[in-house]
Amino acid sequence: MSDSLLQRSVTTSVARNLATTTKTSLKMMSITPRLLLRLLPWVQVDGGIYRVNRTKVELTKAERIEVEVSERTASFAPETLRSVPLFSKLPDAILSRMASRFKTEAVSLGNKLIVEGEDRNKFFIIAQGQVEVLSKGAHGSDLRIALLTEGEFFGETDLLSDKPSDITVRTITPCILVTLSRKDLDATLKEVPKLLDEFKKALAEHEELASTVNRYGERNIDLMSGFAENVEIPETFVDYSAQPREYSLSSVQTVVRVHTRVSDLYNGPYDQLEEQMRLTIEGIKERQEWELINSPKFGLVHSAEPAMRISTRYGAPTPDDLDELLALVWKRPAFFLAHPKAIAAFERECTWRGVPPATINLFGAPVITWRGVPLVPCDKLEMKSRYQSNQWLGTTSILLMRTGEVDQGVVGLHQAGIPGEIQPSLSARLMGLDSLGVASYLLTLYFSCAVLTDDALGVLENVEVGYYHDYENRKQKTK
Amino acid sequence: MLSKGVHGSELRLALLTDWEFFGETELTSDKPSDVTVRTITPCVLLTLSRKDLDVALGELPKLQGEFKKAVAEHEELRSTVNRYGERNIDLVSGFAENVVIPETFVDYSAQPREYTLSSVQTVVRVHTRVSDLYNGPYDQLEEQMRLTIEGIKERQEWELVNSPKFGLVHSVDPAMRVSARYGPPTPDDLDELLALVWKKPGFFLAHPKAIAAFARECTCRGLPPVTTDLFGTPVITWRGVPLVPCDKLEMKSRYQSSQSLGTTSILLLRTGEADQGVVGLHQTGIPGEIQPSLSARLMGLDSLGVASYLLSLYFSCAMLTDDAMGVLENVEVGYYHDYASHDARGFENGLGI
Repeated sequence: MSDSLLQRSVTTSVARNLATTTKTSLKMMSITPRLLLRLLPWVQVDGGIYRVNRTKVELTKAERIEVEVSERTASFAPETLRSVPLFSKLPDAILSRMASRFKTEAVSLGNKLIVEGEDRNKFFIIAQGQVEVLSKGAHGSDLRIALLTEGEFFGETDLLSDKPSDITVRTITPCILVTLSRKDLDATLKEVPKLLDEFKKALAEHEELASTVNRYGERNIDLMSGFAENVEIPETFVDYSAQPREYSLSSVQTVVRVHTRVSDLYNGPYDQLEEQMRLTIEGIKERQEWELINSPKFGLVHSAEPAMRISTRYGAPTPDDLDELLALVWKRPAFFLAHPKAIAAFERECTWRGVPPATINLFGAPVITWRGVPLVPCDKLEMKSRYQSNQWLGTTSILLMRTGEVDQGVVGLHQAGIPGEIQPSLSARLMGLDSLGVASYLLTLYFSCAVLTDDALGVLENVEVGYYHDYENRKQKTK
Repeated sequence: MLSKGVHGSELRLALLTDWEFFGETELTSDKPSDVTVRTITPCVLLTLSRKDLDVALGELPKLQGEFKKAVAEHEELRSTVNRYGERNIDLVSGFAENVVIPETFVDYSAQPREYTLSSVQTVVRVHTRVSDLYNGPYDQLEEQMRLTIEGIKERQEWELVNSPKFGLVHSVDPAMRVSARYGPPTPDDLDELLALVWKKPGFFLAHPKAIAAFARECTCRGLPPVTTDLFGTPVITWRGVPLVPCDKLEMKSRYQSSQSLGTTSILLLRTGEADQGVVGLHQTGIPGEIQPSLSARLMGLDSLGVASYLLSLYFSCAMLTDDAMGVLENVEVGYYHDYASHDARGFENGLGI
């Protein structure tokens, strides 16, 4: 009562009933800048199918071998042994015999599997963990020449030649390995007399083929150069791949339902139908970016060649790792794609080393660059997390790609000009009204993504984002 | 909070601070823990053991069932929403043909947040004798007004940062708060903040003392930050994002007489309505307007000949989505590196040039 006695004028809480409120359009948190969609050049695919013609690759490339690890034993399908280039021509009979002879070994951290100068005669496939390959440099110090991870293999040449090994291989994490010793191989091949000959023939065939192709497995273009006269000029042709890869456009579809009562009456200041459409399209585009990266059929993470995948040296993404990636995709690299947390982890490594990366402005937002190549943030790169309640921690990947059709890079595929188009390659169509008065609109987005040559895309794997340097202990060390 | 990385070394996954919690999943699942939690400062913790929970739920027979139901309900709900807690937009994607296309709608929040314009008001009183006679070279009334307006604007900035209702410091989402790792604001902390507000960050807002502390950390690491020009004054930037100085950010001080020491916060904002960032609100075109959303009105003269002017400024501030702003808390500004014991690089051992 006393309030109303003291009140001398109309209050704001009552007065606001007379006034109009300024309303915002609908805000949605899951909208991201989607820089990948903006940076990818989009190629018009008129027939719905995009065929990537390549020169014929004669030599099979090393693929990773998928090894399934159960309780104590690891197993793999015998035909996956063909992924080892040396064994690519072997007949099934030999492969299955070989596969049955493999043994599973668990090795702890820091063990030497092959020692330089010794003859170990063992072939290894890594089922779990990582190993490093060391070699004596010209100056006599051990150099780390490679880092191998799950599914990769080494030592296949040791099975055949008697030369002492010229590398040292050491485990840097606890590993589970599948191994085949030379003795076992020889025993297997001796079981049936014909096998040994077949084995040798298949290897010789591979060796011969390997000598006629270039580094990429393509047939060498025969040329002649020099000052010699009256020599026969070699004839050559460029062979095409007989089974070119075809990409058909994938779709993202949904049906938006709006009651006609809502869309008829409640349209000021925002059109309800337009708002529903706008946010659904945002959702579709977010999904499109996710699919471009993670789709098992055409996603960038899955279409990178095994040879273009490298692992981080220490876990955290260091400048060295990014330089390594740049050396792989050295032909006109366009941009890195990394999770924001991975970018922060990389920045920490730069700070630790005292090399601040330069920043540039990309579509109005600052992004950091490394060696002039921008690191584009994208939260669609999956984070393999160990701690469930916080999804932002764990290991992830960093991609580096070359883009554009001219440069034989990565291109996005779409088809503009489809019926009912409201944005390129995105159509909205009224499906009709049902008996309850609800209008349904079908939204469809067609797109795909093609990697034109294998060396257009590199992946840095096993990027640990949770590593922080301890600056307080650093000073004690230097003392 | 630590966890073993693939290389077997302990990685620090997260840092939890006041009023945060952990281990809630341990109460309901039997899995061994996959994290290690270690205290790095003296802590006061509230704990609930699983045994006690089971005893509490066992007291009434119905409770156990209700508890399980509520947990299961949460799990089910969580599987249908995205990372931000928004309902997923049902989509079908891929090459499959003749699949039923899911139907969807975007649900609106039933209680949208409303911001009313806050006001800063004051009455300026000038004796007519003063404003009539002593007007050269400065107009007395104008000077009085100018300084009052400056005061009002300073207060406006303070309110924008600290107001309990709409102030930036108070409207930050708990998930967007990070704590400084060591106390002083290091480049790593700012990188962490940038990873939180990674969608088009606009600028950092920090107390000048906090900027100095950050600059010291940069100096110690040998990384001078780039400077840029903002409205005619140089400001430092970090990863291309300027650090804007603002003394309105409160300094929680332990030492009372000197207010500029203690802990403070650093804010990182995305701005603009189009980017779903932070926007200031005002209303131009109010009666008696002398600056946008600021009105001055003569209230009249009293019997002593004093003229009163009412100055009112209307404003507010809205954060359009929760991820538009992040805050770095517990920033210690009083930490100095000891360069004297920093190992001096001598020439005698063949070091240096």
